[in-house]
Amino acid sequence: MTAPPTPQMPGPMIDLRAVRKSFGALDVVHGIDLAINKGEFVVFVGPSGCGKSTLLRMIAGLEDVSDGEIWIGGRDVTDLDPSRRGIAMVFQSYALYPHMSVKDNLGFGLKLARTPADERDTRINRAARMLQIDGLLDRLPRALSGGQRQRVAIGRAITRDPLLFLFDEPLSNLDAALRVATRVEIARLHESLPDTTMIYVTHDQTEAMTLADRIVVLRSGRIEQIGAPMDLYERPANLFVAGFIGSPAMNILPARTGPEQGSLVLADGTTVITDAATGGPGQDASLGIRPEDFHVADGTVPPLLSGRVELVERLGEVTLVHVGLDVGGTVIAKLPGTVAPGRGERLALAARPGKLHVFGSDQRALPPARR
Amino acid sequence: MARRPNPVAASSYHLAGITLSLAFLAPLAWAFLSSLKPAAEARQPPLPPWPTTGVTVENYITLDGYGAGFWSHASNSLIVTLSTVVLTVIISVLAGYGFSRFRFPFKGVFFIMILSTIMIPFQSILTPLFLILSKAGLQNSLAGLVMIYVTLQLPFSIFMMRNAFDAVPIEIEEAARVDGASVLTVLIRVMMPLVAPGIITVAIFAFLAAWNEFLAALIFLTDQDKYTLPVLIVAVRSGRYGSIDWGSVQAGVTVMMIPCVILFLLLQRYYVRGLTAGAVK
Repeated sequence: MTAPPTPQMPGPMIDLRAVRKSFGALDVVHGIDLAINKGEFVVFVGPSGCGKSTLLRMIAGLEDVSDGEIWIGGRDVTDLDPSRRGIAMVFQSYALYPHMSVKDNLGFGLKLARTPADERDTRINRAARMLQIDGLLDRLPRALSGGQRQRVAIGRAITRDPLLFLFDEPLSNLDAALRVATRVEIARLHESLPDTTMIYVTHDQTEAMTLADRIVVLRSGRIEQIGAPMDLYERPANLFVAGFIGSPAMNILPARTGPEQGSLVLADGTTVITDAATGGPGQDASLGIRPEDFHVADGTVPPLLSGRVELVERLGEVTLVHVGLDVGGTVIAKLPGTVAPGRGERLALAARPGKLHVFGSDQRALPPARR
Repeated sequence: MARRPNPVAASSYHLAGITLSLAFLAPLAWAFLSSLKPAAEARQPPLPPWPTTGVTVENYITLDGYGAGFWSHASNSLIVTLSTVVLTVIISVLAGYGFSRFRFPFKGVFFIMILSTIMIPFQSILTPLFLILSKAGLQNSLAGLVMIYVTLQLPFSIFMMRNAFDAVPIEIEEAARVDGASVLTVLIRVMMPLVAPGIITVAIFAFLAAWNEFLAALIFLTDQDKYTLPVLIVAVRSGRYGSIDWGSVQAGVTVMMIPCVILFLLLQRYYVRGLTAGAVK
């Protein structure tokens, strides 16, 4: 056993340097560079098969690194066995030891590290109280509910007092209500352990938005964008991130750049003025508008888009209106719950120019023009 | 609402069960009862199966008079059987774990090769085995016999253990690795308890096979003192001066059954679980 890494080292807690992973001829992770600071809560998010779990498993040491280096706490751990990395991990399937009581599950890592029995008990009890499983210590995992099992799995990670905490889709096996409750608990856990770095993998953008200090959006083994949740929401770097963050997804309309800076021409010739630096005219572009940025044009501002209502979903506090546009295509507008247009009715929608997102022919967001 | 069981169906179910049980138990009871017959009666046609001219243990005493004495042969059998069980379990656990969890070149080919040896009739390789053991100086030794038994037992046992390990979710192992366990610690402290039913099944199979094996023991053991119990009983059957002592044969059969029955009664719970492990994931 080596000594655990010292927390007082300079530089980032985790440093991924050009990390690659290939299975045979198939590259699943293409040269990822990423630095994560001590105490940060970073969420890897992306559709299935984007390499987020593989990346997490490489950090844990459960997957070999094909190329590049992984540094944890100032040590190169690229070829280090998972048992010697000083990390703790929570698995989607809980992965409790079925033949051990809750107490033994919580204490297994400490026992392996030859922690004295009295300190072991102290730590087990502290973690159990924190997660409100102190009444279940003598039970076997099969006598627990799904939510309780997930708490034990989290507790098993807490007792070891790791520098780095890894979560691999920990909420996917829970039902909707429990998922929300456990999500809140994980957020509290992060607050109560300010020195512990956490990496969390999910495909659920709500979990990513609510938990993360920083979100890393991955697609096909590449980082699409890194940023604080609201950064990604307000300034998506490309069409993929724009479509992935936010629900319902951002509406995307094909367009061409117009003759004036910031102007876009839609399919039917309608001109839309945006804040973006659109460059020269006649280039392919996309116009993006979030459903919640639409409002009903009331005559004081010129309408941006108009069309016929195809479907109305009333959710109570908001109404989702699907509008078949005159320019072609359908958009979803998230309007106040009091608005309830009838199906087939004509509707004119407006949005502030500052809320319009413009993406160039390379699918990247165009920066705002200087005024 | 729970339906009240149909009395006709229930009783015919029990009747069928009892009949089948009797059919399976009858030979065992027959052997035991015959072993209690006096020598003169034991030579008569075997009906009725129970002793009619008095009960005696003389057959058991006669049995002990053969060869090097009953206990000497029983300990030969025990040494061979327990060694076979221990070696089979150790090797098949390691091999099953390897085939289940590790990636290495030609893994599939090796596994098929090991399995395919089940299809080779053991009798057909007796001659080469005999030659190999002679060359190795292991012919006419209990150690040589153990090696043969272990070899014969391994294909099934490795298959069994691989399935048992396959049935354990890999995340449990990964969790233990992250918790700080080395590969060996994972195997001993996490995996072994979880595949215990498989290990017990392999052990019971190895025990029964080695305890009852006759042909290899007959051929490879030439020294009468080294005979295991099945060979001893045939020697008893051949009798002294040409007469067959049926009573002693039945006494030998009865004694030989005892460990098997005890073992099975103790471990049957795990045995059934082990056989079906990995069948349904």
